[in-house]
Amino acid sequence: MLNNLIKNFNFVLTYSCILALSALVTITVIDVAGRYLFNFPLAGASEITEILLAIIIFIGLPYITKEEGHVTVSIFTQKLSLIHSKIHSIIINILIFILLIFISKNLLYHGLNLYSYNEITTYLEIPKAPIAFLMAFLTLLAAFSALFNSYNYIIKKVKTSENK
Amino acid sequence: MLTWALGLIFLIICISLGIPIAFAMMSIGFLGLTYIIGFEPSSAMIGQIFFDNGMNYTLSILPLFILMGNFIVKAGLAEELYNASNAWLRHKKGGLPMATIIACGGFSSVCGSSLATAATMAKIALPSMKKYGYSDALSTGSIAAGGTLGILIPPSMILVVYGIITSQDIGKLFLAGLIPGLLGVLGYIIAVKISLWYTKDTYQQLPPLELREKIYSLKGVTGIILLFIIVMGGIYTGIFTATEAAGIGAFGSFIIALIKKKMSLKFLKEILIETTKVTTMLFFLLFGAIVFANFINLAGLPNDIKTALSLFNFNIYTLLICIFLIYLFLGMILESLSMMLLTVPIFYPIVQDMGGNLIWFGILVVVAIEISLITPPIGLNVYVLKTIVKDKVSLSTIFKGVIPFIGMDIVRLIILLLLPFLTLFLPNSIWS
Repeated sequence: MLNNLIKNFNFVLTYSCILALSALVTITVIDVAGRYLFNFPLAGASEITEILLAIIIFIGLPYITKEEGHVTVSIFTQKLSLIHSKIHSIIINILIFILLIFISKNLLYHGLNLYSYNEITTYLEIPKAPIAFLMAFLTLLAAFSALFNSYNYIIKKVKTSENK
Repeated sequence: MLTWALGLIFLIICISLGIPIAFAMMSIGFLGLTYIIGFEPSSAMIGQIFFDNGMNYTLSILPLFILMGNFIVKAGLAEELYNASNAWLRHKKGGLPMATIIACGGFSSVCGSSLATAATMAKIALPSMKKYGYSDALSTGSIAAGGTLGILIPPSMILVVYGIITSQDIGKLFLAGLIPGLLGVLGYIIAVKISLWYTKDTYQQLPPLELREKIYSLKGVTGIILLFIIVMGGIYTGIFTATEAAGIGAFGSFIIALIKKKMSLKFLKEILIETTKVTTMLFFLLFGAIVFANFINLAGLPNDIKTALSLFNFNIYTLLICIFLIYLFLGMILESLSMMLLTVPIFYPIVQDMGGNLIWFGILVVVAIEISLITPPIGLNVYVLKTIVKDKVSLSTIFKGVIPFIGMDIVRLIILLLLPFLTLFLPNSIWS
C-alpha cells in the first residue's frame, strides 16, 4: 500500500511540474505578445508567474531530495570505505530530514500568519496563505523522502550482512 | 568578530563533511541568527525568506533560461556548432582547437554549465583533434578551458544570481558580459596559437571547404543565432525585460527543437522534469545563501572588513586582487555557482563602499571564477575532463595544456580591471 501511495504521489507531482512549467512559459509569451502586438497585456500575469514559480521550486524538492541531488562537495568524502560512506549517507539524510521539517514548520507558521491577516495578492486578489501551506506540505514530503533514504541505506546494510 | 569567524569556519567544516552546501548554509546561518537575535525571530525569518524569494517575479528568469538551455542542448546544438565553426576554421593553423573553443563558447553560454560543456564537447571534438595529430595537451586543454567561457557569455545563470544578490539590473549585467566574454574567446584563440608555437606540434592541416559548403554548415545554427539576437536585442532596446526575454527564449528554443524534429512527448516530459530539478537545486542554494548572508551581515562582517582594510590602507585594486586570490583557492573545491553564492554577499558591500561599480565587479568575479575552474592543482573542469578521457591522457598533461589559456585569462582580467569602460560601455548605452 505504501508503495502504491508513493507511486500515485509521484505521478501527481510529475504532471503538476510539467503543467506548471508549461504554464510559466505560455503566460510570459502571451503577456509579451499581447502587450506589443495587440496592445493588450495579460492582466495579473506577473502574479500568476510568481505563484507558478513557487510551485515549480517546491515540487522539485521531494524529487532532488529523494535522488540526493543537492550540490555537495565530495572530494573529502569520496575515499570513505563502503560501510563508512553508508553511515555517512544515513547521517546526512537524517540531518536533511530534521532541517526540512524545521523549514516546513516555519512555512506553515508563516502561512498561518498570512491567513490571520487575510493577505491577498494586489491585482488578482488571490489569498497568499494556501501558497505557503502548499510550500510547507511539499517541504514535509521532501523531509520524509530524506528519511526514507536513510531507512533504505539501513535496510541495504542489513541485507549485505545477511548475504555474508 | 568572533561570531562570524566561527560561522565561516563551521560552514567550511560542514561543507567539507559532505553536507549539501545549501543545507550547510541554512543551518549555520540559522544557528548564527539564533545566537544574535533569538530563536523566535530567526525562525520567523526563515519562513519569510523561503516564501518571499520563492515568489519573486524576477527570479522566474532562472527556470525559463534553464528550460531554454535544455531544449537547445537536446536539439543537438553541440554537434551543429562544432560542424559550423569547423567548416570555417579547419584549414587555418590550429583550426580544429580554435573551432573547439568557439563551439565551447557558444554551447556553454546556452547550456549554462561549464562542467557539462567540457563533458559534451570532449566526446565531439577530441576524436578529430587526435586524428589530425594535435597533441593531447592542446586538445584537452582547449576543451577544459573552452568550457569555462559560457558562464560569462549571456544568457548567464551565474550573472542572474549575482544580479539578485546585489540588486543589479540583470539585463545590464547580460550586456556587460558580452564584450568580456568575446574577449575571452579571442584570448583563447591566441592561446591556441601560442601553444602551437612553443610545443611545435606536428599536426595535419585540412584543406579548406568551398564557400557553398561553409555557408551550408551554418544552416544548423541559424535558429539559435537568431534566437540569441532576439533575446539580447530585446533586452538592449528595452522591448522586453530580462525575465520576459527568458520566456521568449524558452518558447523560441522549443520551436527550434520542434522544427529540427527532435521533440517527442517523452522528450518534452524529460526536459520539463530535468528543468524543475535544476531550478529547485539552484533556488535552495540561493535560499541558503540568503539565510547565511543575513547572519554574517548582522554579525558585522562587512564593517569588520572595512575597518581592517582602512587599517592596512587598502585601495580598491589591492582589495580586488585579494578577492581573486580567494577565488583561486575556492575553485579547488566548489563549482561556480556555490562559489558565487558564498562569497559575493560578503564582498559586494565592501566593493560598493569603496566606490566600485557593481556591474563591473560582477563581470570581474565571473572571470575570476572561470580561471579558478582550470587552475592547478585542482581545477574542477580539468577533473571532469579527466574522468571522461580516463587513462588515455594524464592529469598533468591536461594541466600543461591549459597553461596558455590561464595566461590569456589573466591578461583578460588585467585588461578588464584597468579598462572598466570595456565592460560598462554596452550597459550604459542601453536605449530605454
